[in-house]
Amino acid sequence: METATTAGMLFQEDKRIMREQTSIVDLLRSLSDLSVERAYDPYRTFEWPESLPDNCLWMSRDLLSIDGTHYMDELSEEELCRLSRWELVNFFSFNVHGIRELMQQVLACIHNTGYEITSEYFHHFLDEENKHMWFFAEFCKRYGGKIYFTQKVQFPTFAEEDIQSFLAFAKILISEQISDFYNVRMMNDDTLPPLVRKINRVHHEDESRHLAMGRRVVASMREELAKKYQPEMLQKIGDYLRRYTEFFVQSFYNPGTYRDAGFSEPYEIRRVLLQHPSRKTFHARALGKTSRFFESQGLFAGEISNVCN
Amino acid sequence: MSAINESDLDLTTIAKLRDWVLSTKQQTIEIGLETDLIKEGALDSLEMVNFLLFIEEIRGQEIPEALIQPEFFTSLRVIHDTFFRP
Repeated sequence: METATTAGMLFQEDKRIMREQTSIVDLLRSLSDLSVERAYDPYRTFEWPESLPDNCLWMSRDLLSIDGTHYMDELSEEELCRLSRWELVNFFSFNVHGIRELMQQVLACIHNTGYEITSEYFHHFLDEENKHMWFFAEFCKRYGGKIYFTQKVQFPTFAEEDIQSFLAFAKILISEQISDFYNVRMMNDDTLPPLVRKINRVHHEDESRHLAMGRRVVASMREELAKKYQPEMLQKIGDYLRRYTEFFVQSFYNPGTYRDAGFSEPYEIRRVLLQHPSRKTFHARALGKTSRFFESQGLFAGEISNVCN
Repeated sequence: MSAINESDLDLTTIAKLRDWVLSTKQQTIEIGLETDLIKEGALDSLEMVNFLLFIEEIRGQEIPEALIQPEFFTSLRVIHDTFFRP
């Protein structure tokens, strides 16, 4: 098995290869090649200890939803560790549900007309996402005893099929980009259990390819929409995606998590945290890459920090 | 599930639900007991999680996974009958 250092060197090489591809066709070919070269068996990649230590954090301190607020000072170290366990299970749980949705979206169009150049890479994408869903779910079930269920109620907001497709890929990109911010922090945090760091690292390395594809696909689809629809419609789409970004960040503030961590007023805590100035500073940082990309596409105006609608 | 009588309606709860939905709108809209909240655009899928959490908070109980489906959120009456029926 390769060491973390070797994997890190290979990963830097992958990023160089992805940067050098100027056309979407070349990029997708490179991504497919890299997926083949970096393929791994998730069922053999991880060692799952009987239990993980409960006297340490499972999620990085600065990623906890209460960081920067008075709750951080009020909780004992033991209570913080308990909260970090449930916040990590929550994070992995909504990754499970998000992956399930994005796989459905990609499956729905993989060999449709118009997707000829992406279909080959989509096979690798689906393969890798299936692996991610498995290891996130495995972690939640083993160490949390459950996967938090999704509270999303799905129904389409736009009737136009091409806009729905665009939104599907844009939402995949937003969720992957934000989750990647968390992955990068946790894979480098040596206060966390090795298994937690490794899951975050493996996910980040695969996601770097998915993000490279996602940015190209979304930019290309946006160009097509711009040819067909009036600027007012693009504005409406941008507003929706901005709200989706806020909505996604709110997933980190799950009352169920606070309840499991022993808080008596889980809904009130969520409300307080979402309004808290320190949290807004954190959101602006976590959403930096997402805001900048969608701003470059003319879909967002300015950064997002307030996620409380 | 059969619809309940008008006299069994918890009007305070209905008013709280209506106020929550209206608080998310920039323009004034009419929301009656039977207004289709989804078709009329009073609620969209991004607002649903917060609405669902609000419902949980005022009923004092979590909403089970099986009830997190659009058909249980179509109107104030359906929401009332589904989640607040005595």
